[in-house]
Amino acid sequence: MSAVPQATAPAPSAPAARRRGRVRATLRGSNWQLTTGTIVIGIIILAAVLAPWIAPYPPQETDLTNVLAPPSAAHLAGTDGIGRDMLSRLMYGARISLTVSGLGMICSILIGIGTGMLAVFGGRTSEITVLRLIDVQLAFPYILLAIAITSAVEPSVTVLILLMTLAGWAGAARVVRSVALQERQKDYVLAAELVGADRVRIARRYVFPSVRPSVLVLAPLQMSAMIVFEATLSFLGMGVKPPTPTWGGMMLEGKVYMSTAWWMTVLPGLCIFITASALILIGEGLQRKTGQKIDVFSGTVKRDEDA
Amino acid sequence: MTATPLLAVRDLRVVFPRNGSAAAAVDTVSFDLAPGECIAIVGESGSGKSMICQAVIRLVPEPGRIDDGHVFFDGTDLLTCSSRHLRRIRGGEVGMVFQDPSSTLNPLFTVGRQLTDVIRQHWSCSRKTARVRAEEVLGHVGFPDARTRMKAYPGELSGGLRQRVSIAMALSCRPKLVICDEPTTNLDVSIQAQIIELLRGLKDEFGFSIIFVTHDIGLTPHIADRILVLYAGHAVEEGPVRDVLDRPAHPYTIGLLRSAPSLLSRRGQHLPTIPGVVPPLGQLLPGAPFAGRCPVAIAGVCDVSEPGWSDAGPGHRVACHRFAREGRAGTAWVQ
Amino acid sequence: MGPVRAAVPGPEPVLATEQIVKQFGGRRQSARIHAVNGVSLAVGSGEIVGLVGESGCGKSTLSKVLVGIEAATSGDVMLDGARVADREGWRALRRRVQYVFQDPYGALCPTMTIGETLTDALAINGVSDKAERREKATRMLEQVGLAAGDLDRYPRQFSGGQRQRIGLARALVLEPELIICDEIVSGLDVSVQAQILNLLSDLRQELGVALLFISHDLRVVRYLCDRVVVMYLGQVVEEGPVEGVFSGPRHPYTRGLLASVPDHAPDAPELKARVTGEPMSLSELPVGCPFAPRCPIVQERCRTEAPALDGGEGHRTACHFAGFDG
Repeated sequence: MSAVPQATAPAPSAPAARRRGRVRATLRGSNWQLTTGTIVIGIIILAAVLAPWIAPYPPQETDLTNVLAPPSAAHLAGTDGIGRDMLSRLMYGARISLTVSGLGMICSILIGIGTGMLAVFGGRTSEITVLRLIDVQLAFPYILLAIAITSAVEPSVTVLILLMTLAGWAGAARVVRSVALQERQKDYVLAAELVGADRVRIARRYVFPSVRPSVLVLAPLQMSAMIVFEATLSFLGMGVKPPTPTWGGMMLEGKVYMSTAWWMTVLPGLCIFITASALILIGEGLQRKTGQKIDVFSGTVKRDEDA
Repeated sequence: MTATPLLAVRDLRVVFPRNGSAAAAVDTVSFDLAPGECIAIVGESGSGKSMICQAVIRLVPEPGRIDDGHVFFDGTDLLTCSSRHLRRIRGGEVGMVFQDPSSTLNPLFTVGRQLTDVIRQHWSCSRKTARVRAEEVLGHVGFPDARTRMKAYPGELSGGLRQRVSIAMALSCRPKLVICDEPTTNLDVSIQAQIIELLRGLKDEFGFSIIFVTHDIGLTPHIADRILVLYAGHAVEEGPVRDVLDRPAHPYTIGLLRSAPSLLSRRGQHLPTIPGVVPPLGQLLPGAPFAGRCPVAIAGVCDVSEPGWSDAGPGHRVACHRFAREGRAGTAWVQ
Repeated sequence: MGPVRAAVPGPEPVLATEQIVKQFGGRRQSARIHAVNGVSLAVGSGEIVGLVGESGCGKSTLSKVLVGIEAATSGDVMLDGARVADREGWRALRRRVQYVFQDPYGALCPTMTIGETLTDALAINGVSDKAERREKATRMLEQVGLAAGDLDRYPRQFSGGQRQRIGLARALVLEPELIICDEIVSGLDVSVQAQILNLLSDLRQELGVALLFISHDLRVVRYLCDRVVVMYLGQVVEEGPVEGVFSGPRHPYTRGLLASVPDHAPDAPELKARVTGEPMSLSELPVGCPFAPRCPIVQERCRTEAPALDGGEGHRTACHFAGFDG
């Protein structure tokens, strides 16, 4: 029996089948979640950054002759109760949402990495302290925290970012700790110790690179949650104060006009939904790419070791 | 073969998808097993020995599948019979003992309960009858104080005891064939010796056949009558165990035997080694499977076509071009 | 039983222990695991010592105590005859004693290249010149049979046998005097195992490095080692030159163990399960000889009086009736 490698049998109607196969392969093989999500977020970021130049009207410009106008050629997203252009306000609202959630996510992840690694490599006291702090943080209802803070201090963008950081660092710390703990049990960490590496070196050079992919997957998921959180706070009147446009604030203003001017609530709501979903898609895409699955409820990470 | 073999495996082929095509983990393997006989299937990683065990009872895990071949057990082809027949056979006429008893035994049920469940599944009898039979078979495998310790959970037992329970489960329904896939690999040497002795004794007493898969060639003369040597999914040599061990014919078998340290070999010299490594699944080149690493490969022959079987003694056959041309003198390489 | 001197004559052994005892567990007597109960052994310069025993005998725990991964409950580890007492002492020990792990898959950092793993070890230990580090790393890789080009590859691109070689290279790159090999060939195919064993033999020949070779496979130990130490339930029951112990075992456990080793040689004896029953649990500290419950020649004295390690010509046994044919 001459063992010539068998050629794969040709499919019936070869060209059509090949085309079908290629489409299927593209869908199965490529990471459509990552692509789609990135494109959508890219568009939103672009709109937010370029708002001062490409917004059709200044966001605060009122036109009392044209209040509650439905979407038209002049006003693609309609106008609100005092005649301000919705589209421009949505674009400016994006700046707030993205800034608060973006910077909030970055800060909370940085703190999460610091505390998570400290819990694993810092010794028993550090571990206990950090774990207790995480427990307290997670047990505390965010809304109460928000109410407490915003009643004491004027809710500026900075304060909101602080709030996001406080709300998010514990989740990041848990994920970081989970991965770092798994790695620390492995023989190569012991081998590094035996060669003379100190804890900082092991944490930084040996373990952190394994932690990084999980953090990368967590980031868009956290940011997505923060988009919604910021919108919620604005809707409850605890966000950046008007007249600065925020998506949540616009929904609040449009609440009374629900039956007559649906675009005032629906369109900002849609923006929140699309942005948050795009971020989640990016998160899923990254999960596929790196092979790390994060369980947001328990903060554990399931990793495909040889990805 | 004068008598009908209990098990006749013919051209068994198990494939796995690899890089778009099907790679053979087991490639055209055939062997017979007479009633009361024990065959040892020996090979290293990637040899396909475990896959054969799974294929014989049609339990190949996804994404693998049995591509070709027949497994005639008592006349019926297990690869094409009905699921009902297969379910009756598995655990009944064919018992299985696996490498890791912790995965065979359910940690949530007592040993006694698991045994009686198996018994009642294959013989419709009362719980009481099943329990009596369970005690009996536990006694046969040397499980101490069977009646009381039957109530133990697997987690409370040592590795050796758990393996005895696995063997008891395999034996409980009076099998004709017991398939053992590396049953002693995870056990200490002294416990391994106990289990081997036990299996040997039970085989002699109850007359069942055994397929004994192992990577440790040193075990084979202590339990098996015949030995089948596998390399990269192909059968390369088969014969009576003492014959193959003392007068190996295939270059791989020779290399394997030489590189395995023995308590009686000479010390202080380099161990002969087989250069290279086993090719990963799907990367086997055409021709004889061992050609890539064979020190006596014939260029233009061994890398082109797969060898057929040659006779190397009574009941002893080898698949080797060099042997077919020059006999043992040709394949006896020394490092 | 007082302190026992190392049985190796001549210059001080590279690494030795005196009466190491290691217990795990809490304050309650019942919860304690007595992993090691008074072990003294020594490895001389350039010597290959095999440490054998079955699961629960304490050989792994002992090896961890030897490099300070675990702290001994009592007893001393000695480097060149001097007690290792403080952190500085352990640092000094780790520059001269290295370790290779059993599992080749977890022993290398997956996110660092082989070169990075090797050069980092050198960087930590004072080799500041980058080119010098790379040169040393390359040399060690070639010493273990790999190629210079492998420096920039990741662990997942290598097979189990190759990863063990890399583990050895990492241990060697600091030029230690002793390498502890903890079951390093246990998970490997026979043909790959042979390659590694030959490599170890060559390393001892060419570099003069001593080895403490921990294994459960007596066939491998006999092939590779000069001396063998047999452990049972946390104690040394027999030790001596490999030839002497394997051809003339004097402890009933060693005899039983040897009879249990499956062998394929034509004149190999039939496999006999001479060691019957199950080993005692580690939570009870044995009174008398630890092997008494399973010993075929046990006498009353064995149950009450623990035997001392005794014997001549470097071959010592802990048995009241050593050498007695039951």
